[in-house]
Amino acid sequence: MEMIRVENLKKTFALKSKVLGIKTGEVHAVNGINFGIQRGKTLGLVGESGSGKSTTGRLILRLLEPTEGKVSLEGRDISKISNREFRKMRKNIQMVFQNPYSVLDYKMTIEDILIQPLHIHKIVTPLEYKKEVERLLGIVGLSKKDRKKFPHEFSGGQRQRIGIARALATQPKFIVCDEPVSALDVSVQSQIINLLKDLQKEYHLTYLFIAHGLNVIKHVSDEVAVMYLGKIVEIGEVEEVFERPKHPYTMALMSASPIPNPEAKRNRIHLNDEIPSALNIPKGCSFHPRCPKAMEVCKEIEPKLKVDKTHEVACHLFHGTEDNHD
Amino acid sequence: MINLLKKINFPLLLGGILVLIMLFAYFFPQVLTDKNPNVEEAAKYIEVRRDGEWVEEFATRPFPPNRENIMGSDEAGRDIYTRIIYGTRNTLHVALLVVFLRILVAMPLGIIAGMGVKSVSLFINMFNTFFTTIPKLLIAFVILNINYFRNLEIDRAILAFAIVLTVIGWSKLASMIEDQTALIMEEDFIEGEVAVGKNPLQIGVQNLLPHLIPHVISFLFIEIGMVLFLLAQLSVLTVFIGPRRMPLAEAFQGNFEMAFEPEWGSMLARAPEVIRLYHDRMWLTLFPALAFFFGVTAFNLTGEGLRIEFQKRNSQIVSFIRKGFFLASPKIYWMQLRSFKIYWKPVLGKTLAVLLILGYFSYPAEASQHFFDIERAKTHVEELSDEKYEGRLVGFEGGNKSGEYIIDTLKSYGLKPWEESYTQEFNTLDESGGFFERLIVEEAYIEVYQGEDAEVYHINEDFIIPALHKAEMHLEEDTNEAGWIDYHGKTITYHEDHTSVKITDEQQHIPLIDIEDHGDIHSQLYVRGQGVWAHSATHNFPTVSNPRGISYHLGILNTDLYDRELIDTYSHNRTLIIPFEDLRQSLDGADVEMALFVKPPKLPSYPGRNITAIIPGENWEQEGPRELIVIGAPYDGAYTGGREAFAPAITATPAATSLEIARVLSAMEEPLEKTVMFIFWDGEYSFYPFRIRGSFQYTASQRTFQQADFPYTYIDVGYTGNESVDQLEINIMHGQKRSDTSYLIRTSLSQRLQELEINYRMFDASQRWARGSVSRALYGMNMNSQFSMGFGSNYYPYINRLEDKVESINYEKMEGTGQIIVDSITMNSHLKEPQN
Amino acid sequence: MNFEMTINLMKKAIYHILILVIVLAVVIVATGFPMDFDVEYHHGEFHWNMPLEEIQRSITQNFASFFSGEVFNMEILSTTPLTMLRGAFSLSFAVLFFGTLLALLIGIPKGIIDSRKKRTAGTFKLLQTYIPLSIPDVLTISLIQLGAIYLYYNEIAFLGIGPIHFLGDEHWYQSIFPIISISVLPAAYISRVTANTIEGLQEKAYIITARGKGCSYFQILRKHMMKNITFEILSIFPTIMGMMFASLIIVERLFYYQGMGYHLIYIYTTSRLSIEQAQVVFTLFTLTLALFYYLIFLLLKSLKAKIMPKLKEN
Repeated sequence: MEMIRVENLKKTFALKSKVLGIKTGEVHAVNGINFGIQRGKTLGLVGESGSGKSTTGRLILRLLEPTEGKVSLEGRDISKISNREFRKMRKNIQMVFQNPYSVLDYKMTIEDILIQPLHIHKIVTPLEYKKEVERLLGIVGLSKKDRKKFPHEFSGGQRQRIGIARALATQPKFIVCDEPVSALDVSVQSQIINLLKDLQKEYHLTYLFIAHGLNVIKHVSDEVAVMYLGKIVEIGEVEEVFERPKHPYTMALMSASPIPNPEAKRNRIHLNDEIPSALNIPKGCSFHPRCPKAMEVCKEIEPKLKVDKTHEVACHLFHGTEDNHD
Repeated sequence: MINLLKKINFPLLLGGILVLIMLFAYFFPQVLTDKNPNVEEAAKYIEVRRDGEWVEEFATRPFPPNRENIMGSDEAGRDIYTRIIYGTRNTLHVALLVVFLRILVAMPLGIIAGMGVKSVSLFINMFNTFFTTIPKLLIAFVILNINYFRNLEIDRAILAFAIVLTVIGWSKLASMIEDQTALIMEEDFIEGEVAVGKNPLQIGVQNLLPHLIPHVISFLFIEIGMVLFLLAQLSVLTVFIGPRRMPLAEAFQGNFEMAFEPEWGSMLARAPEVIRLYHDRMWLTLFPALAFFFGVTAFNLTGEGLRIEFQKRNSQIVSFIRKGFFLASPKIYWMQLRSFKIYWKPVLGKTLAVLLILGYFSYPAEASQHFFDIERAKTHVEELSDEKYEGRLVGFEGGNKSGEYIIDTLKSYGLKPWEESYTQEFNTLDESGGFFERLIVEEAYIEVYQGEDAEVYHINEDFIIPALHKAEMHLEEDTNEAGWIDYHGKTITYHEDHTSVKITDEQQHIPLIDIEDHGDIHSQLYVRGQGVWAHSATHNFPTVSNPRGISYHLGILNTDLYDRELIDTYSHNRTLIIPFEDLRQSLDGADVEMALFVKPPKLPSYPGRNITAIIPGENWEQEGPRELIVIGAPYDGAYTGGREAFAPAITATPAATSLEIARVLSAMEEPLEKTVMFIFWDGEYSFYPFRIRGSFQYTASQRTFQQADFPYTYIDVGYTGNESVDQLEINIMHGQKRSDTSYLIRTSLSQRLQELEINYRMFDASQRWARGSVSRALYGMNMNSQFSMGFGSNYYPYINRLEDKVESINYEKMEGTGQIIVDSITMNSHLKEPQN
Repeated sequence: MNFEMTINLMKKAIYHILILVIVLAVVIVATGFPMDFDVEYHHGEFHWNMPLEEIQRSITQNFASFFSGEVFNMEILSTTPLTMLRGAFSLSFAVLFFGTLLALLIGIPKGIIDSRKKRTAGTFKLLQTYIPLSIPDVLTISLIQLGAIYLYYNEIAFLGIGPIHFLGDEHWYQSIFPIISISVLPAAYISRVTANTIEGLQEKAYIITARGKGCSYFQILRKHMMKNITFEILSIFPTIMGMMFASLIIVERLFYYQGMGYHLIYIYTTSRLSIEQAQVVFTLFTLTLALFYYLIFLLLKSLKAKIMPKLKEN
């Protein structure tokens, strides 16, 4: 059954000139995305910096207000409900944040940090706080004694574990992992990834895994979506997309990713230019200025993405000019 | 060593030390100085250093810094160092109160604004803009310069200043808190807290506060420094707390007001003049300014030091605070209670803690050691208001009898006489044909003729005679055959312009005079009778002569002011009648024929008697000066005989109070160190004539203590009024003889009054405009005293009116009066311990 | 876009003007409050010594006299309020302006020097930044006065400027002492802010790089830090100005220097003016003060706005 569904989600930021206080531009950070995640599965979300993937995660958690679109949790629309109602829903959707160094209140002990979610959502009675905290610490691989310590007494990897423990404390169904390992040493990364995977199996969790490193995604996800300038350009089962990328952007990404095999031949696809600013999204297919295979139609008409199949792509190379909704 | 030095937080250390010094001066001023901040020295020999040696010089105030006054003295001769030490308390009170109030307002508003509520932020901003555009100093000056604020006593002044300065200055603090809050809210972890599901209130309390509080604490200290700064500025503009007065005998120094209470600000008030005219006396300004510098530095440094300290990641305190909340939560307590078996230890511990805390706070202030029994005092009031004493008029039988009652009561308590006798007698009759002596007119009536009919009106029912021509007292030949003094005449209306009335016929004329309310009729008559002619309609009565050819002055005062009031009759150079309503109507208009018949009045036949008695203390038998506590209370009143409606009790209250105090003190098991002397004044009621005032007789002519032999503190017991006025008025006067502890007596007194929860208002009678009603006895006795206090007023609107009854007395206030006097004598260590 | 920008600019302008008008109106109301207002305590009750109507009348009167221009022609002590204002204003302006200048001249270099010494938080040296901030102006003035008295009575002259009398304002050089007095505290604040800014910046990456590349301390100072320092000083300028305005009153009072501050207090406490006259003049002076401050405030705000983008470019 579908845990989460996102429909036509958009987020636009307005730029204001500080001096005059007028709007000078708009940033379409997320420009209409659609996807769904089945229970117990992981959707990986990849893209460059500026593609809008982190924003997507925050939109789902309502840390930012969507400009448009709908988010549903287990079939229920959670994007229009009041703040108060949503706070109760937060029990079910949690987030593991990117930066383990700044995401925990450094004036609270670990115990306090973990107790507070328990308290807010009344997971256990106050008398059982201590036990539950110890249990959570155990799950993420930390010792009971750690509960009296402060965040700055831990390493980055350990702090990320605390962050995970906190996310688990409310016994959520769905967790957004926003680049949870990007700030960690490579040696530590795999530990955390494995932890996340184990937890998923054990507690039947659903993940949205946001990252910009492809190897990580491959390891973790069941499906993967590729974002570019606020849109999903390709989405499908992870094996499919990795082995047989369709969108030129995806192909370029894959080629840039290092392969452990030193003897494998690499075909680097180089893209022209840099990713343009989200202020000035090109007309038509937003990728067309950099696309090695751009066609005339790409400059004019935006290609649409088809869902409900195992491997969809938004590219005129694969569609006719009229869109087909199957 | 150098490493250790580097680790020490110097601002915090130094600031902390300075603050501690100030707190020490706040709590234990006597340790730092042995002088009295209010004692004025006019001239003395001082030792100054010249060329490296101590040289003695004669100097007048203000004294430059010398061996005894290390910071010199102010223009009234008061030691500056001592005033600074004692002033720490008052100045700090204001500063701390201001900051406390400011935080109360600024904290919630600042936090709310910083968490994103734009309207509050705008509000704060508006306040800020306004109060920077117009300097706070200016606004504070304008408001606090209003006379009302300038003249408040010190306690109220502190509160008033605090409120005004809070309203003016809270916004700066609020905007600092707002900025800090906004800063904290932008930290990354806030996002995580939102994700976990906290509402803004929870984030505010659980995350924001622990981060904010350290900053706020340092803001607080710095703010105290800023307030002190502002106080210094305000005082240069002569706005400071505490009442002020004209210094005695400072006329040649210029017309200025000096502060009474020791307080730093008041000492700077003369700064402009000092700088302009007296720059050889810079110590007058320099040392108070340095005191402020000290204070501001102390708090600034501490604040900065704290700020530095909190920047280190010193989080143990915060976690500790959080733990505290868990411990103190009632919900947790309840849950633990329900699972008592498991959690009995914490439950027990918490219950005990709660009981201890409750016990500490409800622990009462020290109870009075001896209780003033109001019921007994009430019986004295009832007794003395009884009609057999006829109002206790001095010089007459009723007054004499009441004196006997008092003497008997004192004897029954075991009080001893002073020297041989319990009484000090003085003359109430002046043989030379006294002016303004008390008389009692027992019988008089008026006949008003309407054609053949005559309506008769009787004294005390239909009219009263406040003044009787003095010749009447002695010329018995002047009575008619029936033994009455009589007047006949026709009424005429009196016009202001007439100095005499043309008598066109043989008829005598009796002027009807309308008078305005100029206050007490007797004081008017007294003043005018002295020969001071004021422009008013009540003098220059036209002459009217009696059939036997003797001229009299007779007038009828047309007023309803005295309809329900007791007035004594005095001898005067005119006879006046005040008719009550019915008679007034009969006499209305001119040309009414009437006759007045007066039985020759009774003259005072008894001497006035001050009653004195003592309770010997431990020092009674010793050689050398014996310190006394003297308690004085008037016991006389106005004549009630023949006026049934009256049983005036207010004038009986001082004696009743004093008698009960005497009983309490005499019943003490352990004698007091000082001897207590009770004086019951006769002839005190109503100011006139002063030579019949008992206290005048006592202090001026009959008995004056040798200062050296009997230094005394005087306590005056005033009247307790009816319910309508329930604030106890207390007047403090500092005697001429210098007392080192008088200031402390007074502060202890204030404290005890608050502990007893008495509603009081204290006046310093040396203030130029003292609002309290200071009795003549208090003034008189203060001259030679070390220190004097008057409890109660000598004025009440209901005295001697129909409402003045035994039942209407405010016995609660009376009890308070009695109890505070007893407590002061038995518990106020500064008062009860002799200084030698 | 241009149209929108203009609209927004106008909105801001109106907003500021509105605030100014409100402030001025409140000033007129507040100063219209009768100066001889008092509360008396008689036998247990409080009484105002004038009825509410009287107060209202006084306030409306104040408005009237200003809008009718009567205030400018009123005759007071053989001069008009406007003339008084002109004289007082130029005196005060001199003190404020040169005082600010002096404060900057002393404060900024001192701040730079302070930040040079490598200091850790809480050391002894820190004290000498905090202590000058705690000196009440009364003390400063007293000390300066003492010095001035000494110079005067010993007839010491500087650079041909004769012995300066320590009170009064007849000669231009008598403003020297007030200027010095008023600049002490602001200088302390400015130096502290400068030092803090420099220290804060020293950690920044681009400064460290510059040093690594061999730039001298002063070059770094000039090129990179100056803008930040200016920005920070402009930020606390309103605070400093508030401080200086208050100090002005005290300084003028103690030096008998008859500028705006002196007059404000004088009007309030003197008996040579009738209540009505005093009220009008007081209002006039306060209004001028408010207007003056507000204009400077706006000036500073726009300066800040100009520098900010340049800051961001860095």
